[in-house]
Amino acid sequence: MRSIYIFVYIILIIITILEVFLATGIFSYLIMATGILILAGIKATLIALFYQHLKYEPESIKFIPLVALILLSGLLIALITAVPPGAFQSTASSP
Amino acid sequence: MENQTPNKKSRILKWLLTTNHKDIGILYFVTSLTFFIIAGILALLMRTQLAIPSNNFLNAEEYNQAVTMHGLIMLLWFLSPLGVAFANYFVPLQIGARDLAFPRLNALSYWLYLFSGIIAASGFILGGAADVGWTYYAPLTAVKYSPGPGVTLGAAAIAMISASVTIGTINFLVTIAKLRAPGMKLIHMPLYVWFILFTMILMLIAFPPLLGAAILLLSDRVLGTSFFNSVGAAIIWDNLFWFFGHPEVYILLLPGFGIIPEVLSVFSRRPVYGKKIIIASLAVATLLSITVWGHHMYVTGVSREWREYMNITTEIISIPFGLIVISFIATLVGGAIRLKTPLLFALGSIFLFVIGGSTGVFQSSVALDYQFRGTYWVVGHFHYVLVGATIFGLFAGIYYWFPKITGRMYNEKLGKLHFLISFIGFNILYFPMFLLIDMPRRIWTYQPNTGWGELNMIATIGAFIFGPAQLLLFYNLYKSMKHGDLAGANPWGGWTLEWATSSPPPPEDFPGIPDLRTGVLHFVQLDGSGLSEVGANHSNHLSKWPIIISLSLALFLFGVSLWPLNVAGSIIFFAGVIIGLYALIGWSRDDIKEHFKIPEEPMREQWPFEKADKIKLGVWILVFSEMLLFATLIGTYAYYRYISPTWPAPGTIHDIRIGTVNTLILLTSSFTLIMALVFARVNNLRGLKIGLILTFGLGLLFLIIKGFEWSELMLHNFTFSSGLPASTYYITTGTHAAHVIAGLGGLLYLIAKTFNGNVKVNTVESFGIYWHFVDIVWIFLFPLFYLL
Amino acid sequence: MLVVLSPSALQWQSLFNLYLTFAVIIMGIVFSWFIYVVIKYRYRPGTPEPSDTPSLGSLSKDHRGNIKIALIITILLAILFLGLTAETINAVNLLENIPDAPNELHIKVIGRQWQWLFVYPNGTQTTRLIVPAGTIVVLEVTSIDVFHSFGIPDLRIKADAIPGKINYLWLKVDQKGTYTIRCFELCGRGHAAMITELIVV
Repeated sequence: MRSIYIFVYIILIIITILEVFLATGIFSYLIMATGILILAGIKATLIALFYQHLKYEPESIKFIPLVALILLSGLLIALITAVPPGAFQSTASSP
Repeated sequence: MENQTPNKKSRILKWLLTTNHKDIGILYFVTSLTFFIIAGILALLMRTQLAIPSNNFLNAEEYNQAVTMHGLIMLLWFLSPLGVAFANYFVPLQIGARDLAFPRLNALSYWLYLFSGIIAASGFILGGAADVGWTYYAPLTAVKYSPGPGVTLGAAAIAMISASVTIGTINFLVTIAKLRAPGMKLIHMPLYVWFILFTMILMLIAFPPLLGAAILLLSDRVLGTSFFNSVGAAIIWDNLFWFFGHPEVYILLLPGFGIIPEVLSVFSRRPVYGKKIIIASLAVATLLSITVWGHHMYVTGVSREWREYMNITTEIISIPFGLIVISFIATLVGGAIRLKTPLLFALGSIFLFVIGGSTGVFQSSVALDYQFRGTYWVVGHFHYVLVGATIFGLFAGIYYWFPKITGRMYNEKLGKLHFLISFIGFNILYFPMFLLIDMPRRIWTYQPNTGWGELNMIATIGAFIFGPAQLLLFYNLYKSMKHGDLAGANPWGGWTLEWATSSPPPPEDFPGIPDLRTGVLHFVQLDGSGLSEVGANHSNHLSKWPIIISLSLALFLFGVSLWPLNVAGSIIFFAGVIIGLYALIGWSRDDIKEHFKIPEEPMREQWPFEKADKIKLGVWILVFSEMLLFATLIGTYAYYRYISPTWPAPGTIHDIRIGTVNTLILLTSSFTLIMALVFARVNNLRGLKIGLILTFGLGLLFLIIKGFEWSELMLHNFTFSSGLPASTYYITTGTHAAHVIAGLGGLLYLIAKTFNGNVKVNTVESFGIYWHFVDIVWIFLFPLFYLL
Repeated sequence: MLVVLSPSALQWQSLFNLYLTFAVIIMGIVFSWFIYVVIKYRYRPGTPEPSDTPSLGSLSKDHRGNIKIALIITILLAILFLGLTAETINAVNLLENIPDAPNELHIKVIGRQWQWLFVYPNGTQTTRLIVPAGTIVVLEVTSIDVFHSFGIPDLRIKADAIPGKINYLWLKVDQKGTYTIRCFELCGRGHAAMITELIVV
């Protein structure tokens, strides 16, 4: 059990360094952003599965953060896509 | 039987310190009815003003405060809490539990609720209560348009009651998961408990975005951030508020509606029709209710596809409710119906729900909403469902359960009279509103040439029939409490477990644990013997920390709200902080000394959560709500970045090196914490101590570096009021930092328990789930604010 | 209520009548059944008690309930609601798709605390909306302070007035006359006073 935690920790460090490398390198913004967010997602998943022990928990416990993830994804998508891009004029006076 | 000295001072003290679910149910009951009276008086004032055109009984400012506070108080401080009162009293009884899973947290929920209501109402005497509509639309809520403390106090109260509710949902969900009587599988739970279960799930989902939005608004008004006074603010508030607001209406409806099947079946002497159909319908409705909120935004200019999608989901959400209503009516078929007061209110509730629900279907139509939006048709609709269906359902509960709570019968004639006058007055008051399709909401007066005078006058007459009729209820309850006939354990011939104990129930609810496995109810002791329990020790049912912590949070928020306007605010704020710290330490010491030990009861039904202990399950549910809270904050940030034409490029404001270092620190703290757990599992106390202390040190280092980072930024003129990039950065990372601080508090508690020699592996594991979650949040904040 | 001869009002009214018809029919059926059941199964002395009254503390069994009926009702209601939604989408297409016309008139509508301002293509600013009969008028609705809502009840049209955003409405009125314009979102002290007129000449 002990060794898996050390292993995960090392991977987390490496991925963090990769993220900074992506950010400071000369990639297009889209590739950089997608790549970094995917890497962040991998880190989060590793911590959830191993440090929070989710890999070994019964379905009923796994269900709880999974449902939250689905809901928050729906919320995020709705918040961003509700208004067509460019709908707001910055020239219109804001209070 | 306990020796009770009826000393007035000790009686009052008992109410302040109790953690028993029945007492807390009564506290919620009395408090919510008090708020009902206050908000009801506001309504009568409004109706007086609107009775005739060009009236001057209230002026515009007074009217706007009345309409806002009427809505807020009725929804958040009366309807839901009255539902919670019954849930508190009867869910444990109906599932055969002794109390809720976390009794002190239950008391905490109540006191947070009470103090938050006082904060909200305090606006009236501090220069004007909130006057922006209960929906708090942006940017009217900005300081520029609404100076004065009312809106801030209202937002603080909303934040505080969100905390109360979230704690309550964790409590009820863990209770229903883990404390059912042996033999009571989920499907055997009474329908009332199922309705409460779905209410709690909806609360868990709906309140975090509200809390997030309230925090952002408070930050605008106190710190000068730009969340709800920038271009685009109106839409993001609209979205966040109604993402909460739509599930909220089902949160309001279900506790009252859930009483109906109980009453229908007992008073017609037949089991409920279609229990599984009703449960499945509730599940579908719960799921759909999270997908329909766009129908509150049909004319805001959001995309056509979005609106058409919401149209469909809103139309079809009536199908499960239709099935529920049909099942309710079908219950009566073949029965022997006794038209007693509880049943009359239940029947009235169904009748009014059908009307209210049907008018709701009209509003699901994007096209029809052009006319309905912002008019009295909407007001009529929601009063039919919230007052007609919900309050009548809750009143059915009052009459149905009054004998159980007090041991006495209410006066049946007065009850019937209350029903009759309420039903008639209700329809006179609210039906005319459907004919006022072109009258805007929230207008303090109208001209004679609109022709609205007659309908408004009729509505006002109805108000003065419906409102005062409630005095019959109060009088009946009061008189019957003192002089009613003795009720006995089961005056109605009911069959759910609350009727299997005395009226009122003894402090421990039942003489032992109810056991249903053999098909015949009997009671067992904890050790499995069939003897009933005598003289349980109840000294550990009292705790002073819930009320003290609630008071401290109230002072904290009150101080925060007043600080921009009055230096007294800062004194109150610091008093709140100090008292709060004192209370947190006090509570922790009680736990370290295990003063409040609740015995484990493994024979209870716990599927599907047999393997998770109460605390772990509770922490995961907490993480659920926190995930939604942070999604709200991050979503707001993402929204503004998406619509803003310019945003500072990465690396220009935030130092990537500091961000990286802090990320590595927090990752390492997760590592030290998991190693501490590994040591705990093999009983290596020294390893555990080192792990915990290292984690604490790393967390502290994280905060120190962040503090340094913030002060540098502020010195370079990147402050709270520097616009959206600053607002989103400070509040999102600030909320995260607050969670780190809370985590440090938890670590201190664990370290103290370790030194005290009574730390449990499960506690370390459960804390870890929280701490690793906080780490995960940072894993996303780091790229979002430093790299992208 | 006066139904104005404008495409928007007529469309709205016919859709409303459709919904109302179904609502009345369904409520009629439900209420009739409801009242019948309550009267027929009322207890009178001598009425036998039902045989399946549960006993105290027994575990509930769900023997009452017919999944088939539930499914049939679900499907019927779904057909009804999807049909109503289709009608709504038709109506929305009419109400929101601005028809092409050579002499469209674009007028900016600006909400502010606490009046409506109208800006015509030639720069004129008025506080009353004056339009020629029979012309297609496109309104560009916005606000320069808080959240208002611009509505002309007689025409059954409405759009929220949101700072920084423009929402579009179109109207065409064949009948000359004066129609009320109001604000439909609480916007402060003067919300009730944000009243003006549409004058069709």
